[in-house]
Amino acid sequence: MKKVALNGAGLLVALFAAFPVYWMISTSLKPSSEIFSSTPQPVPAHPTLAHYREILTGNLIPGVSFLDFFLNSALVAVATVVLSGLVALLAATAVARFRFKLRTSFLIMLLVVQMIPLEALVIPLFLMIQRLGLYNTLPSLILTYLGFSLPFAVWMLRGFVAAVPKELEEAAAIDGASRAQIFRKVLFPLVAPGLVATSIFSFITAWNELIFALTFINDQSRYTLPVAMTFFFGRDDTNWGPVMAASTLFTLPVIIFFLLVQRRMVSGLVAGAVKG
Amino acid sequence: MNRWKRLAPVTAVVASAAMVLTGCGGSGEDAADDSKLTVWMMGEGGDAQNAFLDSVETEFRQKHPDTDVVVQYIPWLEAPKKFQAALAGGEGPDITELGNTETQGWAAQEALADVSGRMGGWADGKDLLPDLVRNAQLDGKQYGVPWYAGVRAIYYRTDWFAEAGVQPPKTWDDLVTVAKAVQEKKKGTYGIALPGNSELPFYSFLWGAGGEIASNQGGAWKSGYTTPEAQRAVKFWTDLVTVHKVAPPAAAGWNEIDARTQFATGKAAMAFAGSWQQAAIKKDNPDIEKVWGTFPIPGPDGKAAPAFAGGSDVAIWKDSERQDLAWDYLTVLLNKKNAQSFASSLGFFPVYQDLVAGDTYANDKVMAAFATTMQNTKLTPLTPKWVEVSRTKTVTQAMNSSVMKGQKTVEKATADAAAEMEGILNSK
Amino acid sequence: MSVLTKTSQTAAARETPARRRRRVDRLPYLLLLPALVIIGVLLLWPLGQVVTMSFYRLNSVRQLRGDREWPWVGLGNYIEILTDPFFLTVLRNTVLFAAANVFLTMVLGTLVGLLLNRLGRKMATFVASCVMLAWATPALTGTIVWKWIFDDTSGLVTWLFNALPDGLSNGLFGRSDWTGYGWFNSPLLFFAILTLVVVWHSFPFIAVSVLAGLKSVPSELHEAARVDGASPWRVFWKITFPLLRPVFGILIVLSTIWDFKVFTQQFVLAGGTQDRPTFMLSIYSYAEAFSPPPKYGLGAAIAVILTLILLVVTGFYVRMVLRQEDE
Repeated sequence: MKKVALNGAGLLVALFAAFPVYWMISTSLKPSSEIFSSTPQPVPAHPTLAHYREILTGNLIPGVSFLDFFLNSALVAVATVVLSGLVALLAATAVARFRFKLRTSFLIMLLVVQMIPLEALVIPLFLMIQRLGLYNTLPSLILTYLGFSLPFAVWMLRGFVAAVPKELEEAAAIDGASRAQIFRKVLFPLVAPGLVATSIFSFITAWNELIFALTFINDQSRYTLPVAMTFFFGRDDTNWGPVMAASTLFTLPVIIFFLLVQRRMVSGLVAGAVKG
Repeated sequence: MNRWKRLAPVTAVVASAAMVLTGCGGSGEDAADDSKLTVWMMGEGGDAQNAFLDSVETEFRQKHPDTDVVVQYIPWLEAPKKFQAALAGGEGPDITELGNTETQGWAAQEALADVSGRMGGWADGKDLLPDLVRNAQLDGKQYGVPWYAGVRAIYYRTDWFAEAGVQPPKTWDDLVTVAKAVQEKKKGTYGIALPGNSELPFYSFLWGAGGEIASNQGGAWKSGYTTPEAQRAVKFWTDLVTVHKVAPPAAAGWNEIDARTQFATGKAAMAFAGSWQQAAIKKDNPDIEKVWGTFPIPGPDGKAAPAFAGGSDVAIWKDSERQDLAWDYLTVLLNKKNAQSFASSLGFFPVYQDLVAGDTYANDKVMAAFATTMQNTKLTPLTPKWVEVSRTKTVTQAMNSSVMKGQKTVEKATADAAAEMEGILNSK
Repeated sequence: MSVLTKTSQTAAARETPARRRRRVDRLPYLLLLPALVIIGVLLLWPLGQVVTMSFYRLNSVRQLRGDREWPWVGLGNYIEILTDPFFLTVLRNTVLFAAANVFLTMVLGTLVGLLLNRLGRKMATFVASCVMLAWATPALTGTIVWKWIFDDTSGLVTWLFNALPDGLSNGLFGRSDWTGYGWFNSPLLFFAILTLVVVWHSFPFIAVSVLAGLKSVPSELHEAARVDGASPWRVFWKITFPLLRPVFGILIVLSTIWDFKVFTQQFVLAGGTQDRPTFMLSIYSYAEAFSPPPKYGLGAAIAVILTLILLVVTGFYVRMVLRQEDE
């Protein structure tokens, strides 16, 4: 009896969580007449790939296709993930493995910088990017997202580092391994899964961001996906079919990434909070 | 010789790589560089617009064979941010399209070049509709040139009107009667898809009743919203939702796109919409073409109401180092032949008096009502502060919505809106 | 780790392989350097710029380029904001919204975390995967979908309400026809839907974190308590919660920070910066700064106020978290 209640609650939670995603995909497969009908079909009665064809084969704006935007976004997101992972790993090792004077100050700072409303930084960052000669380049976005994603990445990763038993490193040290070797051969392989899990947050930051992408990029062939999405909301038009198809394509990579790393997702955060 | 030839692709690659690295968005350092003209267009373009712009480029290059025209598309909603970034970064276009309600604001931000002098020497320019020309002026100087324009009217379902035995209304009272009659006949629909959160259709009622938005009295702006005429208009407009119930409560939050979609998908008998929205309506419902018609927005007493002529201007970017070139492009883009063909392809009107007048549109069952209204336009207040009233603070929209939602009385809402409007327009 | 913290130097010396070295260990600083540089240049320096801008009257883009003077107004921008009655509305919206969302997210997330811990293996995997979907959906597209679900004519919710028996619907809400009902019309309803969207996006993180925390707690403790006949409510507050207090602490801090700054969801749901009655601080700052005519100084001042409020609100928790760090 209790088991039934628990499973029932589980199903309800699953429904609430997954339904909007299902509805997005379902709508994207319906012909327009079905989308605008006042009795929505739970499952597309006449499934069609027309909206996907419309987005993928046509040019969203003249000369640039959805795929181009997709590649721009992928490039920016992957570069952000790699860079932020590397830098975060170094910093996380420092705070998880060493006690030093500024350690607490650094941790406070990690929390405080997350309180900054990022949209307010558009102007100073814009002027900086301009001076660096990076205006209208994808690296301008990589750099920006690196800054945005780093504090949380360090915060999470330090738990994963702390969870690696110190004894392994000490044993290696006794065997005469250098610090660099210990880092590379002992610590890194053990933290790697946590690194992947952490990277999802950096990925989402870079993949989802609109305001800066819009401001820093001038050339339409270098627009990212979120910017492309704004073209669907024109002066006169919101067409739900293509919007949902584009949203599905936009969401899919993140979901795939998530399912790959989900098991390890937050154990680092907990380890960090519990073990310090 | 041969070796140089083989090297050519390499140098081309290097050159283009350099271009990529330096960012090829805007005006370069080199003042003499006329090899490229950057044009900003609003919206997502589309095949028809692309073909049109290609032909304009061909025509333009007859005079400037060495200049490449590069067109960049800017999403409408995000245009203000792109403009600010371009202005702050000095990486703007040479020439740009912009919504004609925004020209003054950007002129005040010193984004646009003064073209008063050039206008004088341009033959076609003399036939431009004077209201639209004035709308692109600031302190007596010309900062933009009208490109295309359109007005709002009312679309209606001819078949439903026939079933209910009613004719297109000519007065406000008629409008209510007709809406109720059709709503009664066609259960599950409502009479009017009313964009309660848009200001431009409402102005037709304001002006129709003899009201004004605001007037400049000796240097200080005075809002007209507290006059009996304006209050009558607000009352009528909001009563459609709250008293006559010919539009649903949701209408308080609708913009023109929402309202149009209601009409297109067969949920409303009438809708306020512009001529340029025909294509979008047909896209939602291809069959509607057989059963739609239009009529001008009625005034209270049988005379059609004036309307605001919305559309686009073209302006030259102040920081552009290719102003002459940009002007040459502008005069090709806007010459009568091109203006007419482009405006028609969008469902807008060309902005030349001689092209709008006459019988060109008399036999078009949709365009005729709009063409009539094009002869009877009015302007929103001519000040760069207006955009703050209209877009940022949405004073008029908020006034109407608050009455429709029952949050304020007409008297309170109009008084509040007038005070807020005057505060913004008269701020330093 | 706590035994090692007599002084930082000895701790570092004992803890690292370089324990025999006498001098201050520079390694941790070297490891931190890249992160410090990036955060300093890309977050702290621009923040300083924002603070500077908030003391000037900046109403023209040309000023940003340095083509025009920056007139110093001191606290003028702050005074203008704080004396505007509209600020109170915005502040009230922000605080109430954040409080409600942190509370709901924490409660729902914790319940789901506890549930996942009790479910059988297959069911737990299934439910967790579904929960991941909500988490993985980017804020932009997630909000677009919710907006579509609440569409006033073809939206699913409108249809559901229409499907209610007319008598019931009339009795409960005083209306039976929901087509054209404006779901986003009243600020209260708008905030309710925004809360739904934000909680939907953020409860998975809490749930999974709580679950991971539970897994790290020895299950014997729970078993023992249950054998003693304690109610689940008591088990939670007497055993689970105290053990997981650090986890809850940090989750609350993070949720508070995030929910105070909600931007994308509101921007998409409200269709830009048009719906002023529902403004909260972050969108208010953005709208003042960028909606034409721009008022960068004013927008910057609002952003500074938001940051300060967050510092004050979370200050208590941050101290608590750090005390645990030092223990």
